[in-house]
Amino acid sequence: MRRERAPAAGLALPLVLVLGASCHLMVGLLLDAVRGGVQDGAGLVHAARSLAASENVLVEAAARLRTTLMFPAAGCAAGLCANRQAPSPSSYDWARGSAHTSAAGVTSGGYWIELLGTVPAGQSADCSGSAGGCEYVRVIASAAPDGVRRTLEACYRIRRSADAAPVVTRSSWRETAIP
Amino acid sequence: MLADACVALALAGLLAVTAAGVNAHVSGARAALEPALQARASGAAAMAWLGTQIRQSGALLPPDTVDAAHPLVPPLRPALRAETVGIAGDRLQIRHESRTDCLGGNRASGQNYVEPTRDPVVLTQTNHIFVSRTATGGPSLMCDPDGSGPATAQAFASQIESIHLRFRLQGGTAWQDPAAVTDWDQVRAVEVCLVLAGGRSSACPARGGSGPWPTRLLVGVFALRNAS
Repeated sequence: MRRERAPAAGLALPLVLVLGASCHLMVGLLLDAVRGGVQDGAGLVHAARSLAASENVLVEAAARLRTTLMFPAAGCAAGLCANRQAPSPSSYDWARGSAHTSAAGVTSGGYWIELLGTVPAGQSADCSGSAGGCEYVRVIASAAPDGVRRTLEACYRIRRSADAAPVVTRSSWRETAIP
Repeated sequence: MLADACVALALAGLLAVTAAGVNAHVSGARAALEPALQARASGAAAMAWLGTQIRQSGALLPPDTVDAAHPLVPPLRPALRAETVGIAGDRLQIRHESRTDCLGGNRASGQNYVEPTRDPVVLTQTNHIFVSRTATGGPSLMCDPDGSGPATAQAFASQIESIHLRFRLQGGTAWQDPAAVTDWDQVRAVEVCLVLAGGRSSACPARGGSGPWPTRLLVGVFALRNAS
C-alpha cells in the first residue's frame, strides 16, 4: 500500500535548504571581513619585505664602491652611469631597461651607480688631505620581491688614495618616491 | 503520517530557531569586527607612511654635479623633533628636502635651507604630524605641511585617537619621552604608538604597557637612516 507524503514534510526540506544557505551567506560575509584584515596585514609584510630586499641591493652596490669604478664617458654601462646620464628612477623600466645591473638573488630589480663628480684632495673641506681625492656617487637600488617595488637612493663619498684602502661614507638615504 | 508531519515541522522549527541565533551572533560579530578592521587598516597605512617619513628624515638631494664649489652636504640637522601636546599625544616634526609636501601638493616655494656651501639653496619640507580629536569625520592623524596653521592641516588616516612617541639616542640604552630629549641631533630611532578608536593610550609602551599589544594599538620602531 502506497503512503502519501505529508504536505508539511514536503515543505521542511526546502525550508532547511533556505536556512542553510542563509547561514552559509552570513558566515561568508563574516569571513570576507576577516579576509580583508588579513590582506591588509599581508600588504604590510610585502612592503617590509620589499624594503629589506632593496636595502640588500643597496648594500651590494655599496660594496662595489670599494673597487675601482670605470665610469663610461656617456650613458650607462654595466651598472655605472656618467654624470647626469642616468635614467629617472620614477620612470625606469626595471624589466626592460639596460641601465641597471642585476643584484644577486633579485629577479626584478638591481642597481646603478651614477658619478656625481670628483674632487682632488685638499680642494674642499669635505675631502681633506693632500693625496688622491674623492669620488661622489649616487646609487639607485630597487627590488620588488612580492610585486611591491621599493626604490632607494643613497649618496656616497669614496675617499681614495694610493696608500690606503678606499673609505666609503654614506651621506644621505631616501626613498625615491616622496612623500 | 501525522507523526511524520509533526517531526518534520519540529525539525524545521528547531533549525529556524538555530539559524536565527546564528544570524544574531554573526551580525553582532560582524558589527564589532568591521570597525575594528577598518581602524586597523587605517592605522597600518598610517604606520607605514610614518615609517617612510621617519627613516628618510633629514635627507638632502645632491647637486647635479659635485665639485669643489658644489660639495655634497651632510643631511639636515636635526632631522626631527617632537613635543607633547595633550591628550592626543605627541606632535612630530620631520624635515627633508622635497618639492612635494606631505599632502601630495607640489611646492614652488617654502622654507629654504641655507647652507653656505650649497648653491642653489635647498627647498626643505617640514611635516608636522599630530592627532586631532575634533577633525571632520572623527579623531584622525593629521599632517600640516610647513606648520602654516591648522587651516592647512588635513587628515590622512582616520580612527586614530592619539600618537605617543619615544626616542632612542646615540649611545643610549633606554627610550626617552619627547620632554626628556635635549639634543635632537642625537636621535637614532623612533618608537611610534598609535592608539586606534576604542583603544587605551595607557597600553602604549610609553605609558608602561607591554606586549602582546591589544588589537586597538599599533607599535612600530623606525631607525633614522640619515643619522650616524
